[in-house]
Amino acid sequence: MILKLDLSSDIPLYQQIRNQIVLAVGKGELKPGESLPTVRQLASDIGVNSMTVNKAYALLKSEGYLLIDRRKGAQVCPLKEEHVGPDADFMEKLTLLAAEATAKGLTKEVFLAACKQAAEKMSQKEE
Amino acid sequence: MIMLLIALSMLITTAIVFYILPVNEPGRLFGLFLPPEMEKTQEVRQLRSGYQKLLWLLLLIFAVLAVPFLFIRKPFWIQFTCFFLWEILQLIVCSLLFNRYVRKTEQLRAQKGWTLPAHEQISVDTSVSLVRKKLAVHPAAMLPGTLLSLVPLLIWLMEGRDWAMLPAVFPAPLSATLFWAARAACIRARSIAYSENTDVNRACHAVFVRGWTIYFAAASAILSISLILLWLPEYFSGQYSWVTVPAVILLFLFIFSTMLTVIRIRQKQQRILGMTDQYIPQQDDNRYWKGGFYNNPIDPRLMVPKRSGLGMTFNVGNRFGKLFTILTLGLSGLLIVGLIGMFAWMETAPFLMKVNAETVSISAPIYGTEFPVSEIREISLVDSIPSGARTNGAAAGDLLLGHFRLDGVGDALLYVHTDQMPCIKIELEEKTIYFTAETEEETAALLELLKEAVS
Repeated sequence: MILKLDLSSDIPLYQQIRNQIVLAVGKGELKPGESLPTVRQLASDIGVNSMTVNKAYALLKSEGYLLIDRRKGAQVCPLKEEHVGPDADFMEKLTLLAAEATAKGLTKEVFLAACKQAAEKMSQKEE
Repeated sequence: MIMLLIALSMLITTAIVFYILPVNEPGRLFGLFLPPEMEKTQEVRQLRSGYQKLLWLLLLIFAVLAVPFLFIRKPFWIQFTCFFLWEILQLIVCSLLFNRYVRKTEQLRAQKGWTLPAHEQISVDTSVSLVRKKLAVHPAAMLPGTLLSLVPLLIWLMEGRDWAMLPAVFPAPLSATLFWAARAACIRARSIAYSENTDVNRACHAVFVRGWTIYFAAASAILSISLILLWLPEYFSGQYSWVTVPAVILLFLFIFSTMLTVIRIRQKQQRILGMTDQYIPQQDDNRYWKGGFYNNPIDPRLMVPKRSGLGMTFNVGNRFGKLFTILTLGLSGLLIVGLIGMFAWMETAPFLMKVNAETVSISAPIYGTEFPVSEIREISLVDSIPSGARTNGAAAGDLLLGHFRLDGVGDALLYVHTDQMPCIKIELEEKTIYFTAETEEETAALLELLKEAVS
C-alpha cells in the first residue's frame, strides 16, 4: 500500500497511519494475512520515532485490524467467516457521524446516499 | 605534487556535485520537482545546458586560478591558506550559480502551472519497505574490501608493533567502516512512493539499492587497495615508493566510478518512471533550503539527502541537527585555522640550540629536546639527509621537523630547513639529530661549540 502522511496536519501522525491502514484494508489494497513493515522499518521509512508507529499498530491491534507476532511482524487480520454485525464501538462512531451530518444540515437521504457512495469504494465481502 | 592531486580531486568532486547531479535526478531539476512529461521541453533543455556551460566556464577559471599557488613552494602555510581560500571561493561561487538556476526553474514552474501538493506530504510504499533489505547485494560482497583494509594492521602486528606508526594503519579500516555505514544507510533510506504503481516503485528502489550496494562493495575494495599502496612507502621508510602511481590511479578510478554509478542509477530510474503516468508529485522542500542549509522544523528527520542527491546533511530545524551542524562547522573551522597557525608557527619560529658543558638543548615548535653532552658519540656536517619516512612530525615545503625513520640511520630527530644546508649531524646512543641554524655561518659556529663541549 501507499502510505501518504501530511506532516503539517493537525491530525497526529499515529492517527493518520491508523486511518490509512484501515482505508487500505477497506478498499482491499491490503488483503487478509498480508504483512506490513515492522515498527522499526516503518518508523525508519517515515523518519519518525518508533513509538509513533508502535502507537498506531497498538491501536489497530486493539481495534481488531492487525495481528502482531514477534517473529512474523504485523499482519492484517484474516476475515471472520461468520456474518459480522456492527459492534457497540462501531455504532457509537456511526451515531456521532450521523449527528454531525444532521448538525450540518444534511437530510437523512443525503447522508445515506453519501454512506452508500463511500461504501461502494470499498471492496465488499459477498453476502 | 600532493597539493596538485588534492586540487584536481576537489575540482572533480565539484564537477560531480554541481555539474552532473543536479541536472540528472529523475523527476527533478536542481532539486525541484518536474512532471516527467516536461523533462524534454525546450525550456527545460535550455535551463540545463545554460547551467552546465556556465559551470564549465567557472571550473576552468578555478583550474587556472589554482596554477599560481600550486607553485608556491615556500612558505608552505601560505600555499595551504591559498588552497583553502580557493576551495571555499569555489563552493560559494558554484552555490550562487546553483541558486540562481533554482530561481529560474521556480519561475518556469510558476509560468507553466506545474502545481504541487499544498501540504507537507510524504508518500511511502510499504511493499518496498518489506523487501528493501533483500534488494541489497549479499553482505559477503563487502568482505574483500573489509579484509584488505586490515592488511596494514596485520603487518603492523607482525612487524614488531612500532607504536609511532600505529595512526598510519587506521585510514584503511576506517574507510571500510564508512562503506559499511553507507550500505546500511542506503538500505534504511526512505521507501519513497514515486508512483501509485507498486511495481514501478519496487523497480526504482531495486535499481537504487542494488546499484549502490554493489558500488559500495567494489569501492571498498578499490579504496582499501589504494590506501595500502599509499601506506607501504610510509611504513617501510621509502621502500616501494613506485606503488604511489597505481595508488593514485586507483583513487581517481574510485572518484570516476562514483560519478558513473550516480548517473547510471538515475538514468535507469528515469526510464522506469517514464513507463507510468501514475506518478505521485513529490513535495520538494525548496523553501526550506537557505544558504546551503536545510531548515525544516516540521520534518522529523535528523539528516536529509543533500540537494545534489549525493550525501546527507543535517536538518537544522531539528535541535540536534542544529547542534551537530554547529559542532561540525565549528570544529572544521578550528581545525583549518589551527593547522594554518601551526604550519605558520613551525615555518617561521627559528630553531635554537644552546650548548653548555653538560647539556645541549634544542628549542623548536612542539619537538624541542635536551640531552647530555656525554651521550654524543659523533658530530659531523652533512650536505644531505637520507630518505625515509615521517613517524611523528612535519614535512612541508623545505621544512623537516620532528621524528623520522631514515634509511641506514634509524630513528632521527630533524630540525632542518633543506634550503639552508649543510646541517649538523649529532649521533647519540639511541637516535640521530639533524640541525640547521638560520644561516650557514651560525650552523658552522654551533658545530664548533659542540665539538668544544664534547672535547
